[in-house]
Amino acid sequence: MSKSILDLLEKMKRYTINEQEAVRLMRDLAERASEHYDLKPGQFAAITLSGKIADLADTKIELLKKVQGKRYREQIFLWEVGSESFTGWK
Amino acid sequence: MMGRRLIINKPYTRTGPFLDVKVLILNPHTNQQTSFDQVCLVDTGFSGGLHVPRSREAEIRLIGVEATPTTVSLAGGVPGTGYVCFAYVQRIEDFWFPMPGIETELLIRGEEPALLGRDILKSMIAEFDGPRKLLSIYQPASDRDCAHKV
Repeated sequence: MSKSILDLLEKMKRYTINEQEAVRLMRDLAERASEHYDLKPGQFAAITLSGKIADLADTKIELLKKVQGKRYREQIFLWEVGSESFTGWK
Repeated sequence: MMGRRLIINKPYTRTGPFLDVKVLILNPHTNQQTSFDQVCLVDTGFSGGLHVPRSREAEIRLIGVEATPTTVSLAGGVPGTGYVCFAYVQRIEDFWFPMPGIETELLIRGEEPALLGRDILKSMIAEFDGPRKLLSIYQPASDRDCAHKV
């Protein structure tokens, strides 16, 4: 993992990271995981903070259904491969 | 007009086109569920389904569902964060969709007003009559047999 990711993960253990740091952490982790696991643009992934793929789906709704109410051993976040964001004004 | 049926006809409020929406959230592992009514501003710039304030998070947690962190493109392309989970839209105004409802994404972030976005509108025909300050929503002909108005 890159130093910037490790620094942010370390900071998270001690303090709260701000919104822009959280965005940067998710983006950097997702880019590395997408490359490592050879994910295709348009796929939707649940990614752990250690960069592993916890769940993968072809649609957003399919992924949301998969993760709903499920307990993961690590904190996850959701990502659309090849996109700057999962949702919003786009 | 042929090929569509009016299901919602609502005058704008003073601040814009708002709709009353009934939302259902289900925990598929325990079958626990929660539902709430939310007044939403219709926002065609929002690509998601529903955007509700952080104050809703507590009632979702009560059924064992933790909304998941993710990234959000804010207006102007600024990146931000939010929490998402899966939800059903059961009713808009007095129009009920076939059970269990429209499958959609629920984004939890910030404060009021809640928003209804394009992911909900994509299966409907929406007309914004600016001069008359009237929002009309139609159901395409192919969907007519699977919903009802009460």
